[in-house]
Amino acid sequence: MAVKDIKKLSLETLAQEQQRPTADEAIRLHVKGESRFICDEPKPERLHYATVVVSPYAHARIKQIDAETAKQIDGVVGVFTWRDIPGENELGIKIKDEPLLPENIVSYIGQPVAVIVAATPAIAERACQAVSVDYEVLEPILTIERARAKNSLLAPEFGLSAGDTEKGFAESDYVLEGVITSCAQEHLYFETQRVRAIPGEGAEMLLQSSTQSPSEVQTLAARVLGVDRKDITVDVKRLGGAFGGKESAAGLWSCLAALVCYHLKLPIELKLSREQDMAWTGKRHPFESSFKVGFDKAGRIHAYAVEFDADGGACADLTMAIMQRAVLHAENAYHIPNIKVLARPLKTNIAPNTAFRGFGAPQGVFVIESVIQRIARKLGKDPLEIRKLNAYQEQDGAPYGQQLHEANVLPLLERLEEHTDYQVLKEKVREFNRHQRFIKRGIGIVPVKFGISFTTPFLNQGSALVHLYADGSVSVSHGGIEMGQSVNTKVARIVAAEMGVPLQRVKIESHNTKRTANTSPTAASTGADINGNAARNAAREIIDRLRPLAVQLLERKYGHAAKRILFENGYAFSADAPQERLTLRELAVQAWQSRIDLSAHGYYSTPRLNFDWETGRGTPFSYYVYGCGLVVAEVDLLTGYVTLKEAHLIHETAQTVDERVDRGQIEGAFIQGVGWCIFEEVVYDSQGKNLTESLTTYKIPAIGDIPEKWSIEMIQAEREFAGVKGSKAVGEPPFLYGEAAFFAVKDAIESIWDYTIEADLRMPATPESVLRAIDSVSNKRA
Amino acid sequence: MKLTVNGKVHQVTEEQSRMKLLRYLREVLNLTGAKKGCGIGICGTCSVLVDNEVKAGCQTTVAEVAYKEIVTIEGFHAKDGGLHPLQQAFIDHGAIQCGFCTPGMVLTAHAFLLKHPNPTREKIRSAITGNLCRCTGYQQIIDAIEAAAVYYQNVPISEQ
Repeated sequence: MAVKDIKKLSLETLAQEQQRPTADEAIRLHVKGESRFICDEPKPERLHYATVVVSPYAHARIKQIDAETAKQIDGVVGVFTWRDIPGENELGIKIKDEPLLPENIVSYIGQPVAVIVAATPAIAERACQAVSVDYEVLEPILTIERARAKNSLLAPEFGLSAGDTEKGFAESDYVLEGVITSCAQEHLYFETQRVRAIPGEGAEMLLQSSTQSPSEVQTLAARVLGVDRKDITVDVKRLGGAFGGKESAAGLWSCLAALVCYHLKLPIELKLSREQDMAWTGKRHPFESSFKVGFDKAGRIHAYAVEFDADGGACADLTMAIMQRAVLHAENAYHIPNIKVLARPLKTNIAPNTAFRGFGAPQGVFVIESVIQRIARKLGKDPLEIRKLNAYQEQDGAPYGQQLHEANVLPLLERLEEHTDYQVLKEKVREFNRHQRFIKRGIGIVPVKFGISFTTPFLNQGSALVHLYADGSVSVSHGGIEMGQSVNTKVARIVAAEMGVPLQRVKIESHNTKRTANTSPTAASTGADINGNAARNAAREIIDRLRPLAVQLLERKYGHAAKRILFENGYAFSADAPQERLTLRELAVQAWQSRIDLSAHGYYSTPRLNFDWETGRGTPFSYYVYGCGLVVAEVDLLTGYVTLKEAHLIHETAQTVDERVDRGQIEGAFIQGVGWCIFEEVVYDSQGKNLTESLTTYKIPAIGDIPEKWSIEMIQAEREFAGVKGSKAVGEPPFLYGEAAFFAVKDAIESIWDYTIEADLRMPATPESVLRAIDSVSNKRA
Repeated sequence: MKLTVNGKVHQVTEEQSRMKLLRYLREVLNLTGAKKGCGIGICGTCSVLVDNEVKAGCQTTVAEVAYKEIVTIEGFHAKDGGLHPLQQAFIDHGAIQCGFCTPGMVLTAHAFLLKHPNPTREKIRSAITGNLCRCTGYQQIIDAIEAAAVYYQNVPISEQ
């Protein structure tokens, strides 16, 4: 094919495409209902269905499993227990305390003890009922209090400190102590846990798993089957939501499917119903934290000591890492010279609590923010004044020694104050409350400083594989998982910009462990940073290989020397003669015919990171995300019902890769945070059974719950310390603004008696909780 | 028994007539656009249109809707087969994150706009109250529906 015959893309069309805020192809598929989630792919021939027999007891010894009746049911092809595990019966990564199927002891309700495979899901369910398991019931530990009393730990307690807290307390005008609790939260990803296991030839197996950690699923499946990782391929196209709930928690279900697939050599589908998913899987860790704070008359904090007790559930899972992040966010946005933080990862008999957006930071921050509120109350000052007084300054250091750089907590709080006309707003709210007897309003404010990077330093690496095809289109595989956060859109934009191709010509492939290996979970808000940078490196490498050829071809075509070659809008041209150009397509064809490699593997590891838990010192974060939020809530004192009247969020995105995507993340994270703080309540009965296992008993925010007036300001200023292409990670930090809703509700309740008494409002501030808090104030007065 | 789905007539067996519509669509017709979210008719993820009314596919049996016109997300598009302006609005306003609730959300919005082409934001909120989304803060969904309303105001119903 002659170069001149290649059809040229018209510049006008390209310009139009650039104007419309483009979306990657998958978004178009979503809106047409054509996008395929796990188990939406056409059914493979002879697909069979797996379901699990689970423990009905929170703590018990398995005496006998009798599956003979179940095996006789027509359509049942197998029943499997721990005896059938050919490799190691272990799912724990760092702490090995989680069997795939327990041999002796079950340690939470919903823990799988046997897997049944049948021709249809209905037969499999029926067979489950026919399996009889004989248990000796043991005493469970179901509360943080009990676990603490019994010293039931998943791992040793740990912490960090800076300065001298005892000296700090001694030098303080006031010292306050107390206990702050925060609650669990159900992920409620819309797509429940699911997997398809498809046998290949020999030892090959393909796992189409709804996981944020394909490499972990691969590792665990290989471990329990006793095969090499090379034999297991994990492929993930996209997830219907995850929020941390499919980071480590997906491993169990994938390995169960892999186990039965290994034995039966049949394609297997394992999919949890909503009720099963809610009843059997772990949640956000509830924390119970005791604190002691010392401060002066002005409200400046001199010393802060806090002990976090987290309900980790039945096995370690990610509890240690989650508590590490809580510890590293204990001081939130405040400079506290003397600080001591202790974390106690408690073991109880409920489903292993796990990663959930924010990963311990929301819990840690909730404590210090509650403490700030109490300091303000003690001094009769506005909490905002205490926040501003203690806010980190530009060059302060965190308790663990990291220099903060570009810490703009105070300017952001001042901006929020100005933007909301805070003093006037506050007066309006007070005026409203003076005139309303049964409806009260309150204001809550929370600033956020959120550290970006996995606190386990080695995880901060990304990889990608980029192919430029000879028609000028581009295929990108990267280590991230698309789960609604639009990491694919961001990576596509980054590659498109780097290679100068229109976005429509970049395809983001499924995550596949054969194309990207040893990947980190898509978590800690790092997905776009580490994988976007890796993809960018790969794209740059290919473009660099094309440059010399572009010089040659341009010179041949236009007859004079080409200098600095630029790649834009599908063209390569010399910077000094932009109208004399080659299409990327003709360049790619020529490169291919000239035997130039058009594929590249890209790699990125986040620089400068190191942290030592032995000393509690180092640089755990690549940079911080700053922001603040203000919420005005209205409380109906008769029903306890809460309405959000206003929300104003100021959030630092730096040089965003996609403004629309970031806006969506800020809004969605905030509302999910509001859900945690005021709507969503996980309830267990006295035996450890989850009573909130459907949407009839567990409420997530609906469209009517969003603030009536809602503003978001994205601070896009250039930052020296930021992520990919000068942007900042956005997935988790805005979740914390939701806490402002809690403080707004509390403020509204406390207005009843003119702010003279503190209401004992517990998270989540559901109508029941609000009514109880009102009663507690009434009782105090009585 | 016969069932019309996206303009195509299907002969329904006795056994199929007892199935939930969602299961029939997904497993018999391989139309996987409608998703199962909660299974109890609360989340709106399985919404489909039955004679232009929103129905929860997980709560409706096939027999109940026999001889009616079913439209699933796969059958919803502009006259020329391209993206319907409502779908384009969802894209343009960032109303989609993981995409799982999107088909139900789009169809519910469509049924609403057919009846209320001049909605206030307040009205949109109450119309979508039966469709949950765990990713977004709903704001961009409201923006999309509000923007798409212009189309419903200007195009005759027969053309929509």
